[in-house]
Amino acid sequence: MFLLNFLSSGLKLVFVDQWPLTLAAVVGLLAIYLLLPRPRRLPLVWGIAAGIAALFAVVVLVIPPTRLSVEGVIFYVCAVTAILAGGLLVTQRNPARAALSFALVVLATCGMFVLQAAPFLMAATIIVYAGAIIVTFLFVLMLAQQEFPSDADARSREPLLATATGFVLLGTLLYLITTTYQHPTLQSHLDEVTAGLQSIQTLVQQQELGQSPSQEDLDRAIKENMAKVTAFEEWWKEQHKTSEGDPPIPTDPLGQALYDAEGAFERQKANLGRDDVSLVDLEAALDKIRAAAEIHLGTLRPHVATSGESGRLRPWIESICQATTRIRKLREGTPTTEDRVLGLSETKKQLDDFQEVWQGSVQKMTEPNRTLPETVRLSQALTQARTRLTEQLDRARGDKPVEFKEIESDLDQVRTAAVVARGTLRPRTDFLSDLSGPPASLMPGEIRRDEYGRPHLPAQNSAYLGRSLFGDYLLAVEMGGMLLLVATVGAIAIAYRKPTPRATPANVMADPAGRTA
Amino acid sequence: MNPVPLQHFLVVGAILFALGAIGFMTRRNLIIMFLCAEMMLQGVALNLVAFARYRGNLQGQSFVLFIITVAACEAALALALILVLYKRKNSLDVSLWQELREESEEPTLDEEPLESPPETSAMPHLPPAGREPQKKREETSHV
Repeated sequence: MFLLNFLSSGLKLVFVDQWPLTLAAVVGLLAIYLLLPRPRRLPLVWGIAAGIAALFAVVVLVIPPTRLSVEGVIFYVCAVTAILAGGLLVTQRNPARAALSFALVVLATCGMFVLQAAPFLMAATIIVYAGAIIVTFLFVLMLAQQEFPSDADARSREPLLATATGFVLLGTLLYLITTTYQHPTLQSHLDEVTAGLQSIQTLVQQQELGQSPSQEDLDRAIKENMAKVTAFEEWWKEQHKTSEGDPPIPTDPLGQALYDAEGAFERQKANLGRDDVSLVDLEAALDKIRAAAEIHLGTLRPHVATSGESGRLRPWIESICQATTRIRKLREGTPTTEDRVLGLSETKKQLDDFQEVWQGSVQKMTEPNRTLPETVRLSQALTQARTRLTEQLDRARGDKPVEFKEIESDLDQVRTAAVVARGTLRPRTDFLSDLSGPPASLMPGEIRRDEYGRPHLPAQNSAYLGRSLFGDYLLAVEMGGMLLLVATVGAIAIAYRKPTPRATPANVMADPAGRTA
Repeated sequence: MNPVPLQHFLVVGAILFALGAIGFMTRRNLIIMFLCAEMMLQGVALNLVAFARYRGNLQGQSFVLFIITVAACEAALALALILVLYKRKNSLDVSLWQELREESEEPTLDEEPLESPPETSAMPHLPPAGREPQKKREETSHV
């Protein structure tokens, strides 16, 4: 039964949910399989047609071009060249042509390096690989020049199995990439908001021209856009649900923008009756959402809450939930003195344990001299709860009435603060200096960005790369140099052939029978 | 002006990697296998550079420099090995090294014949030397 369920959900994922990917992978598989060299040649037409179809499917279905810019055009030219040349390299019978198509792959990749602000790497790759390719080419000319087809070039090993393996790997990689970085829902919400922004902008222009928009227009614009913002916010809340089921706190720019926009729309809706609507306010709110969503689309999704150190904290936060339930039961029931003392002291012990674990996590995970407001809030809540518990415990021992309600609200506060503070935990970043750019553990929202939402990189690429290499990565550079030396020595040792001793007069004198030769 | 999203570069990198892997598994020419391995490295380098760009730091680019170093070492060793293997068997076909397989594995044999090279006569035909060829009519008319 389990196996059946597993199979059916897997098949649904592959053939229904992810059909574009499956289509592209299957067509690509066909193309490479048909084009691979084999003794009895298949007609080239089918293979080439399938290859073009696969490329087309990838471009249109998997990485659809958004509004094309110069950069986008260059990217697509480089990408298509690289993939076509890669396909040629794999399927080419003539090794000399294969070496040339590899050169094309390298050049196209270098084009993409330039697009991603890595000019030094482009130059280095061209120099190193061009040298390497020329050497390879010499080898090809020396060793592989044959006039008739040889076993090495005209046959493939297990073409079907190998191609299938390769394309299963590729399909999995593409699935991971698209599900992690492409949010179709986020994109559709973004499009909705952009359209709404445009409609409001037309209204603002009308207002500036002196024609005040009619009441109905205003009413419709506000209601429609408010619905869009609310739907977007619902989606955001669903994405950021905490494991305890609390409503999420807007900590990232997108959540903040959505929260603000909802407030703005509420305000203007109230103004609607009084004929005093500030459209500019709405425009600013929508624009903020758009900018935040665009940045969010282009970056990694933070998923710190479920992994690593903060995942370890989860059971402790759950123990606080249990403590709250225990206190509530004590409040609602009529406990004896012993029960009350027992319950309170257990709760106190749980809080003490939690504090110890939390201190350990903070010492391990956050920067030494950095205090975050979330952490401060949690420690304040903890102190308050523990003080109250201590004094109430004394009261319970003295058989006086205990303020269970206050304890409960204190525990609630500790829990909320802990959930928020848990999200701020991230690995310490003091391994690398500033020369290597901002640390990799920085949250996406904290990185300085340009107007298109991309992070700033230093303008002097090679200078910074050099400082980073000889500062942070000095040991690795030394080891790389060592490796090169070892490789050179190894290559000489492998290719060296012992010279056979010649028959010189001295040899003949020493060994007249000529046995050494 | 719209920047190209991160995932586009990742997709191209993944495709280059998978194509290289397929080539490495299917092709039998040692030199082409080497080139396919280099293409896999190119795919990975593209990934690293893309991450460096979209995280705003230089760590990915530094890593690619080390990849280039390793690729250079690999090229030196691989070409030396190819040279030695070629000297032993006088061919670049990896399947000639099937004696390196496990004892329990069956050898793979090529059953389909290759296209045979065009027939050439063993000895060139030499005309007897020292005789003057007979002149044809057109030749005389041109002169």
